[in-house]
Amino acid sequence: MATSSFSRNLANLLVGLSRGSKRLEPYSKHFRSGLGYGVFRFEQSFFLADGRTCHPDAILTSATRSTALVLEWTTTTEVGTRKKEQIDKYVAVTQSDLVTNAGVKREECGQHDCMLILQPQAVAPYATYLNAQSHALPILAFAEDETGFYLKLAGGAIKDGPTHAFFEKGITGRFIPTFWVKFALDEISEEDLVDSVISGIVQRITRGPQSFRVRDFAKGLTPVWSQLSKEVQGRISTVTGAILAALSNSEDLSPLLKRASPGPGWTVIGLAQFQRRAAFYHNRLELFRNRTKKESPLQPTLFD
Amino acid sequence: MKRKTAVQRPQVQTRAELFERLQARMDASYRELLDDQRLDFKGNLVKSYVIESDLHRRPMEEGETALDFIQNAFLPKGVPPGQFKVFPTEEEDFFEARLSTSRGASTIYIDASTDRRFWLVYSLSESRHLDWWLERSVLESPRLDYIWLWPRALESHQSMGLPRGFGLDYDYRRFDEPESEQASFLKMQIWGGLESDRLYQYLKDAEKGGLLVGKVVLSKVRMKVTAEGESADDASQPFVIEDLKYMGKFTSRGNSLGLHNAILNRVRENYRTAVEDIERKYAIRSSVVEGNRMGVEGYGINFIPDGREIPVELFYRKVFAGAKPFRLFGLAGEENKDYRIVDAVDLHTGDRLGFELSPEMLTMYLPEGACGNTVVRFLTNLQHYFSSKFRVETDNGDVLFQ
Repeated sequence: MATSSFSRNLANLLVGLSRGSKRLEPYSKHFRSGLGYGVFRFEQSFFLADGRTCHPDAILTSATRSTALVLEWTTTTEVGTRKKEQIDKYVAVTQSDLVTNAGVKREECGQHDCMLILQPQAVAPYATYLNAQSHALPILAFAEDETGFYLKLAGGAIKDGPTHAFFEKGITGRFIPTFWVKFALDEISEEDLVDSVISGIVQRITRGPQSFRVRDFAKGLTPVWSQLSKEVQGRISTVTGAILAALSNSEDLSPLLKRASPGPGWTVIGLAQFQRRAAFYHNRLELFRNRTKKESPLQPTLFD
Repeated sequence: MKRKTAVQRPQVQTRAELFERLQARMDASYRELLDDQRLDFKGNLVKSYVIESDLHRRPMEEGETALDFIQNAFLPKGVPPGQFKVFPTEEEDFFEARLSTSRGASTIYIDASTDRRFWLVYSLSESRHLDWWLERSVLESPRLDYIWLWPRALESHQSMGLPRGFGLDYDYRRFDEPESEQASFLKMQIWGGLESDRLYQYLKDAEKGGLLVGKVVLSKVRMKVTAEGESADDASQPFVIEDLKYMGKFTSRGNSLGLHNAILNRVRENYRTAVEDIERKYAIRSSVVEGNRMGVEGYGINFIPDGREIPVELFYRKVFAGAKPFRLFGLAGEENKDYRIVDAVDLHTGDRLGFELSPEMLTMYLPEGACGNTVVRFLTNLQHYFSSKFRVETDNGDVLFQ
C-alpha cells in the first residue's frame, strides 16, 4: 500500500513522461519519442499461469524497445510477509502471462521486467531481501520534497540496455505535473477529491440549476475515468457522495447545494446568486477544503 | 392627439438589405469627408463585432433556436424585457435586435447564419451605448464571448493594408501591492501615416523601447485597405480605414463596405481556425485508445514568461477568485508555496480547467469539450493585465500564437 501523494505523484510522473511534458523535459521527450514508452494500464490485475493474481500499480510498454515494465510501488520500508508474497508473484511473471492474461501486445513484450519503486530509505532492506533470495528485480528509488523530486535506478539491472541507461542516469526535476491523476488510485480519499468536487459544483452552478446524480458527477473528476476499474469508479462515487453531503451540511455553504426534490441526486444554486458572493464562497470553500484535508475521513452517504 | 407608436418590425429583412443600408451610411460619411475634408469621427460609423456563441455546442434536438438564444443572451440583467426586442427576418438566422435603456438606444443586426459559432454583429448606433450593451451581454451570459486577438494576430491583420496607427495599453493594478502608490497602467493611441508604424516598431525594440518593453501590449490597430491593384493614394477608388480592437470590434471609415466585410471575414476565418486547432490538438480526451494503451490524448498548454518569475501565491489569489477580468474560480492546496495546482472553473463558459502554477510557467489543461477561446482569452488577459511577455508552448513542443 502506497501513501496518497507518493502513489499519485508517481502515476502522474509516468503519464507525464509518456505523454510529454514541458516540465519534465528533456526526460519526457526521450522516454516517449526515443524509447517509445506509454502507459498500458494502471491497477490492471492479471492471472499468472499457476492461478495466482498479480496486481501491479502500472504497466508500461514500448514497441520500440519491445519491452514491458511491470511496476509495483510501495512506501513500506520493511519487507513483510505480504510484500514477500507479492515479490514471489512478480518473479513468476512470464511473457505469456502479460500477453495472454493482461492483454499486452506481443510486439511490446519481447522482454519484460518487474520493478519495485521504493522510497530511498526502503532500498537497502529490499535489496538485501532480493539478493538473499536471488531475485533479479530492479529497484527504482523515488523521492520528493519541497526542493524537487527524483526517480533513479537503485539496484539490479533492467534487461533492455537503453531503458537501463535512462533510469540509471535518473530523472530529476522541481515539480511533477499532477493534472492527469488527481488521486491515488489504490487509496482514494476525500482529501484528494475535494478540490475536484468543489470545482465540479461551481461548474454545475455556471451551467444552470439542473439536478445531477453522483455517479455522473464523479465521471468528470478525472480524464482517465474510462481507464479505471469498476471498483475504483465505485469508490470515487462513494467518496464524492460523502463530500457533497458534507458540503450541503456546512453552515455557510449549504445554500450552494441541496438534495433534488423530487427525485434522486442534487441541485445547485443559480450563477447570479453565486457571483454576487463569489469572494465569500471562495473563502468559505477554501476553509472547507482545508478542513477536509486535515480531518478524519468523512462518512459516506448511503443514498444519492 | 394620437400618440405615434414605434413600428414593431425589422428595418431590414435580409443581409443584402443591411449591406445596402451600411453602404449608404458609409457613402454619406465619405461625402462629408470630401466636403469638409474630415471624416465623421464620433457617431454613426459602421461598426461590427465577431461574437462567439455556444449554440453550436448544444445538440439541435434540445430544440433551442437562435432566436431563443438571442432573446436570453442579449438582454442585460436589470433591463425590463419590454425594452428589448428581437425580430426574426426573412433570412434564416439573421436577426435585428433593439435595446432601449436610460443610457440610450441601440440597434444591432446579428448574422448567425454564415457561421453557427462565430456570429457577426453589425450596427450604426452610437458606440458608448452599443459597447455597454455588448459588454454586459458577454459578461453576464456564459454563452457569449468576444474573440481575443493577440498582438501577432493584430499585426498580421494590419498588414492587409497600410498602417495608420495603433493603440497600446497595460493595466497591472490588480497585481499591485495594496500599500503601493504605483498606478501601474497606461493607455495610448497614436494615429498617423507610416511614421506611426515606425514608432510602433521603435517601442517594440527591446533596446530602444526602454521601460515600456515587456509592459505595453498591442490593443488596437488601424489600417488603410484598398482593393487589390488600386493605389492607396487614389481616394476615388474603393478603400476603408479600419480600426480593429483586440476584443474583435471593427470600426470602419471610407467608401467600401465590401472591403470592411472582407476584413471581417478574414479575421473571423483565421480566428476560427486557430481556436479549432487548439481544441482538436490539445484538449485532453480519454475516449480514444491509442493502439492497446491507455487512451489519453491532448497536451498541456504552457504560458512561459520571458525574463521574470511568476509570483505564484499572489497570482493564485488574484486570478482564481472569480473576479474580472480573468473570471476563473478555483482552489489550490497549500502544500508548496512555489507550486499550486488549481482545479478551476471558467465562470465565463462553465468549462473546467486544470492549472499548474510555478515561478517559471503556468500550465493550462483544457478538457475535452471545453472552449478553445478560453485559452486565447487567458493569454490576452495575461498580456494586458499581468505581463505582455509570454510565449506559449504545448507539452508536445508546438509553439502557439506566433
